[in-house]
Amino acid sequence: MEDPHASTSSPSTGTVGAGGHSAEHGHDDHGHDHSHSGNFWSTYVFSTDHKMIGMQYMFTSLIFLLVGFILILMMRYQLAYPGQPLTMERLSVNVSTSFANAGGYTWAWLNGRADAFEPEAFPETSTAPSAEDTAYKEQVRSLLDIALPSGWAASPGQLAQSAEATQARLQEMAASAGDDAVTQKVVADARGLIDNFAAQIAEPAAHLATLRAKLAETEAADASDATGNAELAGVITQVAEAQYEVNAITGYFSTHMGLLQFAPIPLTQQLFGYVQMPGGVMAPDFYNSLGAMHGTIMVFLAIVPLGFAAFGNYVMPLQIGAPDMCFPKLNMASYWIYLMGGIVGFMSFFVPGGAAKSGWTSYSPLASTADLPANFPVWLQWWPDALTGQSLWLIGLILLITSSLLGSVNFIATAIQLRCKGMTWMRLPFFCWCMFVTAFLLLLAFPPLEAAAIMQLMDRVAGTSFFLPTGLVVNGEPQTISGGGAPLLWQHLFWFLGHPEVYVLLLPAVGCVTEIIATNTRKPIWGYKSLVASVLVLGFLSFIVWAHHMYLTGMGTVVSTFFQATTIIISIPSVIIVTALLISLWGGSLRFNTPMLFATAFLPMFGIGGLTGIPLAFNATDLYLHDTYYVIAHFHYVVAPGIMFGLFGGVYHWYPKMFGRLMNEFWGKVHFWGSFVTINLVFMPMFLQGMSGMHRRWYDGGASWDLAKDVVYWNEVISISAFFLLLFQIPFILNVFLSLKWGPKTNNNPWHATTLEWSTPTPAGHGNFTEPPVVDKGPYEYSVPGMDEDFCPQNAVVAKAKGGQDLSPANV
Amino acid sequence: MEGIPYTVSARRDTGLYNAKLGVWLFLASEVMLFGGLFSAYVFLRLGAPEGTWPLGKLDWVPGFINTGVLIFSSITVILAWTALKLREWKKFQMWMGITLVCAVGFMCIKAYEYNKKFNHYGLFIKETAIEKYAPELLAAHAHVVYHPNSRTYEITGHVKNGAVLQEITALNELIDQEPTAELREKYTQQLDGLKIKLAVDEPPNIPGHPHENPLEELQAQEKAEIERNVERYDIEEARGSVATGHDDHPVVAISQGDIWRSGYFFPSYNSFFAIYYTMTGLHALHVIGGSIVLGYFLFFGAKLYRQNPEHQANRVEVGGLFWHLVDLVWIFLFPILYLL
Amino acid sequence: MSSHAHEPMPAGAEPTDEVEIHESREEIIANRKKCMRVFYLLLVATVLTVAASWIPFNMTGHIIVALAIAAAKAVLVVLFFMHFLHERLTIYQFMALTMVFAAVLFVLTYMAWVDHPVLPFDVYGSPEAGP
Repeated sequence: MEDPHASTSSPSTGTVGAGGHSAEHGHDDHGHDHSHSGNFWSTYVFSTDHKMIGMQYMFTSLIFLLVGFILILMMRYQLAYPGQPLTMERLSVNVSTSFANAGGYTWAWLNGRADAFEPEAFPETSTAPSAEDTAYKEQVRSLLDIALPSGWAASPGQLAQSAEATQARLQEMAASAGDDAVTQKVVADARGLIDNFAAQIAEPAAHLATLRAKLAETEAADASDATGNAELAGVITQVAEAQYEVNAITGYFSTHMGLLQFAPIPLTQQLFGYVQMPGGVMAPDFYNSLGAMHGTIMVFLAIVPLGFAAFGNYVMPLQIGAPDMCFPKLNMASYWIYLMGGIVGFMSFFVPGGAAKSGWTSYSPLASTADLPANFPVWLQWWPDALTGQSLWLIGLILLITSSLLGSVNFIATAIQLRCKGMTWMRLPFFCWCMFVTAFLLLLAFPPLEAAAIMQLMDRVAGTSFFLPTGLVVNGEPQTISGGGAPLLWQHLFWFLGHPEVYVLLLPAVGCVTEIIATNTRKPIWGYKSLVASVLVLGFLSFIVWAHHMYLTGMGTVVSTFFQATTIIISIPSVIIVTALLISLWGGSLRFNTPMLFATAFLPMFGIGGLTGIPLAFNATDLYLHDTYYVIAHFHYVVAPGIMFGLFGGVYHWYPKMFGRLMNEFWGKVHFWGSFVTINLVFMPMFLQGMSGMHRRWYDGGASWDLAKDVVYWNEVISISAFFLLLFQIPFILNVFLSLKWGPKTNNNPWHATTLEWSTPTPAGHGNFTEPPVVDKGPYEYSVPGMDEDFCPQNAVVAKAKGGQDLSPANV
Repeated sequence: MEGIPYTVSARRDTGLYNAKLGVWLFLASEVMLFGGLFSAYVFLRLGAPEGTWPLGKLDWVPGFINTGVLIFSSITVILAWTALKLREWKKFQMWMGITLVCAVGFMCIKAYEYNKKFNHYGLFIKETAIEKYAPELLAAHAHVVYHPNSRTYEITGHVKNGAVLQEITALNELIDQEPTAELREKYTQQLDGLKIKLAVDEPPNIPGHPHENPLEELQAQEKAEIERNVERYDIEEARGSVATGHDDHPVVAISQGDIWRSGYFFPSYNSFFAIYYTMTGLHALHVIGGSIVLGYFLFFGAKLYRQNPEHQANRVEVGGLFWHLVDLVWIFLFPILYLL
Repeated sequence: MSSHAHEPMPAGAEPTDEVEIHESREEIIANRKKCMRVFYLLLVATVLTVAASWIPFNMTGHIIVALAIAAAKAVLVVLFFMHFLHERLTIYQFMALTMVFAAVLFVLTYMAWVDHPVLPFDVYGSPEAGP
């Protein structure tokens, strides 16, 4: 039986259908009325149509995915080549040396002399400081010592003395420079700065001197009555302010004199600033920022929005036969709040102190005390607490949580209320089940983290001690905070979200993979009912396993045992899901197109990620493995080659529905095989490193740790593979954009799939369906015996198969 | 295909219109949000060492009035909704207007309470220095709490010489900025010598929870030397010499050098005020958000009411459900913050 | 709606039908009266909770009494003001799920808190330690 809509590919059909409704249903003044007025802004930007919002989410999250990946590549460079400047020249030398060493080792190994192999050290290049450079810096430094005698702060008398001395020294240098190019350059570079400094400091210094004299007078008068006290307080405040101004100016100049450079400034320093990338070498704090922001961006800004918001928004209403989401305006608000949160989070790279640097888990007390302006250089202390990187991270997080709450309310309401006629729960495509459960996880697990984020923000901005214990000492300074808080409370509230979040990441990918496998094996999904039961159980259990992230906090045996048990139990539904999908492949007539390649790769990759999690579920083994690269490898196997591959498959699978054009198959396969090989080269060695005890937070990648010396060479392999992984994403990026215009046009149902989204016009117009769909069978009716075609769409009115059998999965 | 169904009428199998399902889901997430905060309250309170969780720090009268105001606004929102159901637009306007007035009244009382707390001061005297002040504090019948974690004695009250606080702030700032060590030393000495004069609070009268003055314990058992001092000290005479201040409360003067930390009752003062301001602040944000929504229905709902009164009634029902949740949260906040 | 919350679907009806929510005038007015009575009850309970705080229980007693009254008030608000008593099955299901997870949050966090070899709040508990 043919799909009744397969040939009607006119994009205007949907618009006609939608145009009629406002006249007939006057009461329905929901926002999507505006969407088809033809206005650019309301159609493409502030659209309330779920498909446009889905696409907005898709493109935004793919951009964030790329950004997050580039951040981790910078970090990987530091790990592989610790302490070396990140410049193109240095990069090529380092990478070619790595390759030469790999070749040399292979040759030696083939000749049976692997033991005697000595790797070459990385050669020096011209980016290393030259003699001239060193001389220049020495001279600048000596000048700086004269100009700013006590570092960043000075009294008026000292300032006057040093100003004279500096001018004298400059004169002397200028006179004695002769042909010495270095001295000439120092004089030329420094004179402007010093004159500028003298001009700026003169007035505040004089002011300060006057005020100090006044302070001495007031103190001498010693009027200890109330007015006397107030007056004294006023004068002291004035002195403090004047001193602050002087300090700020000297501090600023001290920093900028220090920045005078002979060698060209590397691009990375220009981008991220001297504090974060001095001379192109990554500063330790910046390394921490990269790690924290990589995690945050990937989890909250890339994968959740791509899997849940983008595909969920685009596909789910289509699959259940709905005209739109339940609350279109909320849907739009959800996207814009998400974007705002993302921008706030990302902008924090460019505020003083840099982005958040306490990991994506943002553990207190570190996260409550990091980056407070009080720890900044004096000329930056005016910066408000609420705009430091760590605070912006929290504000961004609060926005993201709000966005996902709006989204999840919308998803659940849509799934319950807007299923079309005949779409019973057990006829729901599995993807929709995944979205439904995911929405519940977001709805109920995120709010405690929102509460926690508000409390941590209070800790940072209002000086509370929700997560700070009494007697806290930061950088050797005992803190005069009220104390009495509990760092563990943050961990509980964080992981109460954090673990369900894993399934928020996973389930959309599982949904995509299920749809792709069903379509491309041309047979029904094996065990639909067990899949549904598993995903529900998984969702429920995911709320009671969170403390397995916290074994290292020294939990007692009773609670540890409980969480070990639940953690092991939760692997049962996960294994059922993977097994059902694996068995679905059996006996199918498989089509290995690009989405199917990604979907089939998901199974073993997710399998590796899941099985390597079992040692982490047990307290005893976890204590050893928890802070090593083993954990990194474990969850990246779940997230990167697992979930990301599922979502890439989803992009290739639904792209023709979104834009009416197919993506290029050849470049799709290049993308897949390239990514598949390199991503395994990235994460497989991490298991080895981790089991050898390599810690996962070392700034130098273990280079200075004797413990790690036998596995540290894997860092180069991993980093170079990660770089090639980036290269293999270029075909994908080009494929997405170029296929918009040049991809082969397609009909409504290019994959001959059964679910409802393939029976809409392509691309679907406003209101989605030309007429309300009616469903009379389950979602995966492929290769039904006795039918002409090998697929039977859910809404196609067909004679029941031989013997009057009902095809809904509940009855098969 | 037609527009979104079930905006006014219900879907048969669920019996719900969309917005009602949506708002209940939203309320579910709110339950979890405030659940997170309440669990924080529980753990902060459990984490406080025995006897240090502040009791009776808030005046129950404004809290009591506010509870009444919120409950009353809950019933008026129901009356407004019922009026819409009975198609009585004028009555709807009246009841909804009263609801909004209640919301504003609630916020005003809240502001009054906050302001009162912002003027209340407390300080923690170091254990090493307490013997100096013990006689005076005993004579003044001050409310003293011992904090074993920080090893300090806390007293609260109202500052009589506010100018000294400015001086302390200014000196602290100056010490931070001062480049030379000698001057820093000098200023530190000057700072330590300043005295804060506090009209001290008396112990709150909490039935069944008699106040145990840690100074008396100190006097009774531990420090023999202090004991002698206190015995020598004529308490009646001291009463006469101690000046009185705010509400005739006795005033004591504490040197800054003997103070571990001090401050007004801001969120940073202690865990109780941290959770108090956070929870009531978040609750106040909900009140503001709710009244914006209800105000929208009141002032901009006439057009929809003329077109489809049932739709307007549904909107008010949904807004009202949220308003009841705000009430519900306050029902728990009132006893745990004001009474316990 | 109030009295026919879970009526069976009539023959020939589809689950996706749009049905008018209809309540008679009398039902609405009766409901209003009920809410007024609940309102008075709530006021009484508020006075009670303050009054109870003046009875000389020990602290545990105060906590139990105050929370019991608060819980009773909450139940009244939810059942009558939010007309949860006559709500639909779907909403019962979701709210039950929410309450389960809220309880999980409290109980498991509390368990983990109690079963801790080093109690986080007792680090400086012994007089020898301390900042």
